[in-house]
Amino acid sequence: MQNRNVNGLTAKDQGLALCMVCHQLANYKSGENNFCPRCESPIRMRFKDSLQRCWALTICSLIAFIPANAYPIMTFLTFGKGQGDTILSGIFALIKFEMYPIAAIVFIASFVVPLAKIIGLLVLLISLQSRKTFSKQKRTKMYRWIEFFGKWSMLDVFVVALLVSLVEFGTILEIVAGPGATAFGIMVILTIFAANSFDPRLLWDEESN
Amino acid sequence: MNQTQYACNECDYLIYLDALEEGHVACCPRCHHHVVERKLNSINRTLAVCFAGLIIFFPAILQPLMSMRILGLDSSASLFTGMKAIWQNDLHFVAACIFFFCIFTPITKLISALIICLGVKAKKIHHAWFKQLFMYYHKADTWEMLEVFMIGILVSIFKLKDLADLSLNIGIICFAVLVLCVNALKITLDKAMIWDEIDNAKP
Repeated sequence: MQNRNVNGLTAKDQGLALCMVCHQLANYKSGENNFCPRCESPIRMRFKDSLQRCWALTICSLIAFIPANAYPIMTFLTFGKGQGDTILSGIFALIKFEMYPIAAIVFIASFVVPLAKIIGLLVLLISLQSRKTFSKQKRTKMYRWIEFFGKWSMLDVFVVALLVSLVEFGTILEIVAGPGATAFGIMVILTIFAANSFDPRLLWDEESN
Repeated sequence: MNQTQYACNECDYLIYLDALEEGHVACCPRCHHHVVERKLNSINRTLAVCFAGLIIFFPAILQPLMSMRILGLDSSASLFTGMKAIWQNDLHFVAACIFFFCIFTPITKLISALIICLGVKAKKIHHAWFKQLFMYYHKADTWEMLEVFMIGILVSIFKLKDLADLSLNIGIICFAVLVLCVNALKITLDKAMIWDEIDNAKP
C-alpha cells in the first residue's frame, strides 16, 4: 500500500485526467472532447490556456489597481463640504488618529494583499516560462496563499458600504461612496479569476519532463 | 464501489487509497495538499449547521448591526441597508457584488447543502438535478465572502468609534452566528463521500 504511493507517477503519465469539479479520475483520449463519467462536466489534462488566461487577467488587474488607488473610495461630507479619501489616505488618517492595529489590517487587506497577489502571480508565471528553478514546494505554497487571500481584499468595499449606510445625517454629516470602490471591486474579482485560471499542476509538470 | 484511485488536484500525483476511516485525512506525498478527507458524521452535522444558518439568515441580513447617534439624530446600518445605500450612490456594480457575495451565495449555499443532505438521507440522489445542485455547491465556495464582511464590520466600528456614540445591535450577534454556520459547512460537508454515494446510487 505504501509502496504503491511512492512511484513518482502523475495521472498525466498514466493517461488519466482529473475532473476539477468532482475529483474523479477518468481516462483521457487526446484529440477528443472528454467528459467526466460521474458529473458529466468537460475535463482536460490541464486548464485550458492556463498561462495565457492567467497572464491576461493578471495584467488587467494590475491596470485596474491604478484607478482603484487613485480615485477616492469614499468622501466624508460635513455640511456639504469634504475631501475624497483614497485607500492610502484613509490608512494615513487611521495612523494619524493612532489606531495602529486597524490601520495595519486595512493596509494589509486592501493594499498589500492585492499587490502581493498580482506580483505573486507574475512571479509564478515568469518562473514557469523562464525555467528558473526555485523550489516547487515553495511555489505551490505561494499559490495556496494567493488563492486563500484572494477574497480578503474585498474588505474595503464592504467597509465603505457599511459606513455609507450608517453615516447618513443629511447635510450635517454624510459619507458618500466614490468611483474608486467600483475599480477596486473589479480589481479584486479580476485577481480571483486570475488565480483560479492558474493551474498549479503546471509547476510540477517540469519534473516529469 | 468507492473511488480508490485519486490524483492530487494541485500537483497531479497519483495516489491509491483503499478505504479511509472517518476523521482521517489523506495528504499528497509530494506537495502535502489534503487530497481526501473523511469527515465525522458528515450528513447529520451538516444538517444541523444548515438549519441553524437558515434560521439566523434573515435576522442577520436585515437586523441593524450597529447604530450611531450624532446631535440627537439616530442612524443604523445592516448588510441590506449597506447594499441599498451603495446602490443609491449609483455604484450599481459594487452593490451587485455585495448582493452576490454576501446575500445570494450564502443563502443558496445553505439551501443547496440542506437539499443535498436531505437527498442523501432519503436516498434520492440518482436524479440529474441532484448532480447539478452539487456542482453548483462546489462553485459557490470561491464567491462566498461573509467572513470578509465580518472583519469589515470590525474595521468600521474602529473607524467610527471616536466620531460619535456607537452602539452595537442584535444584528451583529446574528451575523456572527451566520458566519460561523456558513463556514462550518466547509468543515462538515464531505464532498468526496457524497460523490461516492452518487456513484453507488446509479440505477
